[in-house]
Amino acid sequence: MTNRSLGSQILHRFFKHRLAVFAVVLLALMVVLALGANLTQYTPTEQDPSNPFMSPTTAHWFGTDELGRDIFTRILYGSRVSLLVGLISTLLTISLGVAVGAISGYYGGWLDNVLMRITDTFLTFPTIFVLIILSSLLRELPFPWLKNSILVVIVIIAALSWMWPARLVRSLFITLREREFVTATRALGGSSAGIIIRHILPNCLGPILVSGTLQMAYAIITESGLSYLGFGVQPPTPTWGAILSTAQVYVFRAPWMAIYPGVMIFITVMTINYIGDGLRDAFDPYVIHSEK
Amino acid sequence: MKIRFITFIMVLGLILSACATATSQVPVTTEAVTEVPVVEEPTGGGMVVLIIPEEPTTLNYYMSDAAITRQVADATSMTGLVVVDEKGEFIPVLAAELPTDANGGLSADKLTVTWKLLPDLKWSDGEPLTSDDVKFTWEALSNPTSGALAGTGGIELITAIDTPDATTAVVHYSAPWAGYLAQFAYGLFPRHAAGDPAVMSEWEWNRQPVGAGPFVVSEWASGESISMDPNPNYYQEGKPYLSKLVFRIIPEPAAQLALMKQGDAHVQLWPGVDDPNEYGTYVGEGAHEEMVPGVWNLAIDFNLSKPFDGDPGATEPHPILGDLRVRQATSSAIDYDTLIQDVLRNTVAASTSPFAYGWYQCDIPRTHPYDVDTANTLLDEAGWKMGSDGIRVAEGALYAEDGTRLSLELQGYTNFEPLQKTEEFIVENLKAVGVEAKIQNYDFSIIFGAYEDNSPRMIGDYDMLIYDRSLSIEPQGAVENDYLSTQIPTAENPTGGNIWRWVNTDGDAFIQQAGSTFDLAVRKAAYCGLGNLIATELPQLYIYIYQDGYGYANNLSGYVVSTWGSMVWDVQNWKLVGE
Repeated sequence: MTNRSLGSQILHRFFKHRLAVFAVVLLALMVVLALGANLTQYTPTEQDPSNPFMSPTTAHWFGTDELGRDIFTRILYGSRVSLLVGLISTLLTISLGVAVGAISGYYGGWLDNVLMRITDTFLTFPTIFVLIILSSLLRELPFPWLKNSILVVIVIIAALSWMWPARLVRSLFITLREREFVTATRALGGSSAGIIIRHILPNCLGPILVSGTLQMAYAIITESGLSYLGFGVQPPTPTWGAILSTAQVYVFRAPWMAIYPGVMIFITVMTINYIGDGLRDAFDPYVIHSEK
Repeated sequence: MKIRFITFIMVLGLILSACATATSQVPVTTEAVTEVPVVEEPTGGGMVVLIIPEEPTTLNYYMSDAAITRQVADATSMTGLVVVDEKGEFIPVLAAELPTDANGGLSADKLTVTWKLLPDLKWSDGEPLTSDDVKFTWEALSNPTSGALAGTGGIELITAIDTPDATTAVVHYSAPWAGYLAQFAYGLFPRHAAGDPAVMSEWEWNRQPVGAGPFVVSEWASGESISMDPNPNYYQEGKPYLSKLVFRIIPEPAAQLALMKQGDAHVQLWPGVDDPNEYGTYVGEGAHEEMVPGVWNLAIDFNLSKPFDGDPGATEPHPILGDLRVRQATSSAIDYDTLIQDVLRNTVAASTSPFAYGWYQCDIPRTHPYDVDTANTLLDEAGWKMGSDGIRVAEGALYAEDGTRLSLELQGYTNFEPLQKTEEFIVENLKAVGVEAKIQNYDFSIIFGAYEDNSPRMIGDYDMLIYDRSLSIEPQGAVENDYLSTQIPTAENPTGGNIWRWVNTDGDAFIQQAGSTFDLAVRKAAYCGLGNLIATELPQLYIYIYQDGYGYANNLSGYVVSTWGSMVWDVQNWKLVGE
């Protein structure tokens, strides 16, 4: 065991987590399906108004929507935007939140005060008004493409959600920084950055990953909400959130319109959750050390 | 394992709530469904709960062009001298009679109108309602800084109002105003309780009005509900019959239907169910839906002026839409029959001009009906050649530089399903002839913002807009504001309504003609002339008229659904069966 590098140990532990491996395969499959969406016999905007609300058949696996469009095709195309927004905005949110929370919790004092007051300020922003103002501002800018850019959507979602992981990580750091292993490392001359990254952070991974999986679902749904305010992806381009949002009007007449995108979001979130679970086990310092 | 289980439960909960609300920007559905106002059932009448999808910002109709305002305000603040009934006819309300030639109310030169008020009228606070309040209403609306933007047609023509006694108001006009009957139809302001006309938007009255309507606002819980009690000084003895009115603000259609199904609400405004026969399947046997021909007329507005050039005027033509042939091709590209019959399932009726109902209704044929070949030919002739990606590119076009893609933005407002369906259908239609239309929907407040708010339609920074507009029974004021060449919105004229920036002297002449006579036949001919011009010149492309739908609990009676009125226009007559 001792001959193994840390990297291979981590990989080994991850592959021992069967659900996590299954989740990786499932996520890879979803990415492949998203990339191969144009192989279906329909296009995502192709309409057949004489056949709306068709229940699932062999011709339309997931049925058709209010304009007779193939829901299966729309969900495949929709996954391109939704997975991208979900994954990247979650990474951004967690990275920013962890950075702020870790610095705030580890150093404490005035730095903690300043960072937490900034966090509180962001928390007090009434989201809807901030979005309406941003929508107006972006409209005024001389870059009209910007308001429909997925990048803007990702940044906005991250900017409005990093505060929760920041507070979570701060509270974990406040507890952990007083533990013996931290004191010992400090006594041995370990740098602050090393202590934060190599010693405390691995102990926080569990809660951070859970927070990340919840953030992912939130981001996918929020993306569709943003298009209401004139940001991001506009109809008829499909996204899971937008399909779900449209489906609410027809939820009694054509429940499959809501079920399929809902199930896709569910599967994605569960996949991320299991991958996160596997990563947490793989990075768990207690397990790594016990194996040495 | 424990964390994994908790995560599973949390994620499941999140997904389920997402399925119910589908967007995080709106109030949570479950609250809306379960949170029934705890109001004790009054005796001697019933409490009626009305569902409205959005909250009015004011109960002062003159300060708002949002359709929701009258749907609430008519029950309390906006009771005027007359009202238009379900047949489209004026009937006196606070006036004793309609001023006409025959009863001497209208002078021979049409410049003086004498209004007689009913005797002993009172405001809801018990103060007398007199002809001086009519005068004050004029003073307030004609104040240049009042900010009044609706229902003000003809106000600027009034030179004075005499009040020889408490029930007589003599209105003097500088020129005959054909719409004189509607002059004070939208409500009066009490001089003693309103405020300084110069700052009308700041009046407390706008949210807590002292009115002459059947109900008085008793509580306004922002974002939740507006409650009203009967007006003890209402002019009709014994009315209103109901003892409580509660307007509940519920944005989500599914939550609205659930309330109707549970019997917790009695009236649902604009249910959004496009087929009335299906309404029962959503709400059960306790309620039904009634539809009336509406006044909301959907059109594509073409910007004829160059956008994003810092000039809101019409000095330079739009590089693409400035060419009439492109507008005609757009009209020919749309499959109107499929849109109306299949997509909207015949819940709308075709329309070709703003004059599509009422006494001024004109039968105007569509100048460019659906014909893909015609659309393609027109675009070819206009110098737009098909590109390799299926979108046309300028090659000798009238105003666009060679190489310009035939790509246009189609702006609408969000959160209205029939509009979005229409947009998506039209985008596909246009794509079929090589026109790229990109939907850009904005929140209601941005699309319908004022000039000062840099609303795209007001400052002329758009290509195509799609939304529904309406004309009242007396259209002259709105027609002048929207179609006169002088009414292009600019910094000097920020409330002008000619947002398509259409300059046409023939159109101006028709409008002047319609406003210069009281002869309805002549006026109708002038409006039809203008309508024909609009259908030919295509500053706007009219598509269809919505029907207005209302959901009613079966135990509610006494109401009359009207094309011309809001849902509460006759609320004083409503009764609850079994109360």
